[in-house]
Amino acid sequence: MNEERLDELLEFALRTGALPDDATDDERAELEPLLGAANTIDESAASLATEAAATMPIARARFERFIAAESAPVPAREVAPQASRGWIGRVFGSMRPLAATGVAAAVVVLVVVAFVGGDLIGSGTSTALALEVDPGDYLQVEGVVTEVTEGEDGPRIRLETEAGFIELDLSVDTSVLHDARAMGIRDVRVGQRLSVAGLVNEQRRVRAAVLSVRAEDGDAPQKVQVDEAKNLGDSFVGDIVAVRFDKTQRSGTVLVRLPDGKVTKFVLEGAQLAGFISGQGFGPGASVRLTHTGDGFVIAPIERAGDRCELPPGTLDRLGQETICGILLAQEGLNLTLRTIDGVIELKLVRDAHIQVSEASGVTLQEVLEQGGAIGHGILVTGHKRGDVFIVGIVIVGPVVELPPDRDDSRPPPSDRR
Amino acid sequence: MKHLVRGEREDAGEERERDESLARRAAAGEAAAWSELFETHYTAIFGFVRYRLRSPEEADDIASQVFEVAYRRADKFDYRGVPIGAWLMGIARNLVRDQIKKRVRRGYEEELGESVTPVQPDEAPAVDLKQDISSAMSNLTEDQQEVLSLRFLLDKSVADTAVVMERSEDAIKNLQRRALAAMQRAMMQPGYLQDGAG
Repeated sequence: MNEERLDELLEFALRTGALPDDATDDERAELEPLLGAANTIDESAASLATEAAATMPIARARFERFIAAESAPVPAREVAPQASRGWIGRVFGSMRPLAATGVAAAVVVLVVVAFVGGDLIGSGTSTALALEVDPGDYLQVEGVVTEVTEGEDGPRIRLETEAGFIELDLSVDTSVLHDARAMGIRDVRVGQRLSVAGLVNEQRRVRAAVLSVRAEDGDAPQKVQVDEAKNLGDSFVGDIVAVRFDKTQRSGTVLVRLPDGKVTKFVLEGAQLAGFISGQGFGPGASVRLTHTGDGFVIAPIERAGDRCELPPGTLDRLGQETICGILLAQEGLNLTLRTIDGVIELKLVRDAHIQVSEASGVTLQEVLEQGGAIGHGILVTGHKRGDVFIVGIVIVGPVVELPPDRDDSRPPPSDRR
Repeated sequence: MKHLVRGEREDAGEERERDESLARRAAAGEAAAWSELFETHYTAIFGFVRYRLRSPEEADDIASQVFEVAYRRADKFDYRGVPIGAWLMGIARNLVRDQIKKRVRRGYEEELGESVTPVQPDEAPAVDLKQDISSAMSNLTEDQQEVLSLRFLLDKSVADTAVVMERSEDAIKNLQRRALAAMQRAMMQPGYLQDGAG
């Protein structure tokens, strides 16, 4: 057979979905298996896109910090405002649909940040009680819009957070993300819960890439006192309230809400900060485990550590599949109901799933298989999403654990928001 | 990602113009341009790296590095019809190669081989099709892996793939056929889980 012709026939079939009519039987016999292999690879591309989308938030934050660090010594350039896709599609996949509809825009968010008596205020005064910010700092925080007024270049928004309030100045370059769509800066209204990330400029304002609307209606969070990290024990869990890094990424501050409801300030430096950043999943709302070391605290996202369920971490992460940790609430045949730190999710076991029972679980494999013996236990599952169902191939059963605090069950499982 | 007509472009001329404009803005250090570059190309870069390295953690890191390297080299990027995506992919390609070399130097291949073997494989077949594909791909040569990643996972046209791999389009078609044949043989080997996701 002529190799060039085979190449052309294959390319034709890949483009059109079928071999041409003039392909001989021998050529078909040669090429049809290859088309099957191509289809198999195509099918796996969907899961690849999902995985890429899941990693984008962290990658974007990293790149944003990198640009800030790289450009810090350089005077600001005069750039005419231009429409841009911004960072929006990062969160929700390809930006092409947004670009096609012309709704995407660049984002510039100016946030006035200062602290007095533990509050973030817009006066420009800083007493550095909770979070002290300097030019070039990266800041990430979530809060509820309590006021929208007209600023110099656009709306000025007051955002209440647990640590106080922030003022955001929006401009023509600002875009706002809501339900996977960009919306206008004047569509931001009182009551919306926003997530903001940005860089502090020379005027101690923050230039953010995007405002993301987390919820339409929310009550302004009650201000809480921010405590210093003292006498906290060696290991505990909490939820991130706000994050700040300096422009060199050598020093940072993280506000964490501990199980007792108190917000505590943790200062990270050097390797601890690097580990925190590389650990991913550090945005407001993320659940983390804090472990005291001789030099300070190590903060790691719980999903990665898998330690909420008190199971040996790391084993399944190396498999390169999605791993979810939670507490088994119910089991019916191959269907499992798992409570994770992000809510209740449904799982489906493959028929020949591997189930491993840890010694610490106190149950036997037989009990797990026949009597629902793993209900109430912490488990780690690994698998992948197919449509709305998470398909599980491997389960590791740990000891019985206490149920985590109630969370919003409508949020996606951890595998969707690494 | 599956398309009826692979690599078809809606308007190549318009895309080139947009690319050129974006390249100029990026070279000038415009933040919005870099934001757009990231949005447009991150998924493709991540996918390319992910299937070459088989480790999600490494893929995260390398994909991010691609944009950092690009940012630092932006003033040296000479736009002459070379798609930005191809430029970024070239950076990714080099970083992946460096990473693989590092692995070899520290004997990482053995470690990786262990890490991707499912626990008790006879009882717990891999449940993720992607994982199976990745394993099968490991049997291919570097060029074969690259052409399959570009053509099928990233949906690049033959022409775009030729630019990235610095080969002729005919060479790409030939390499593509040989790669698919190798892939098909790999998937026929005992141990490859044809029913994948169960």
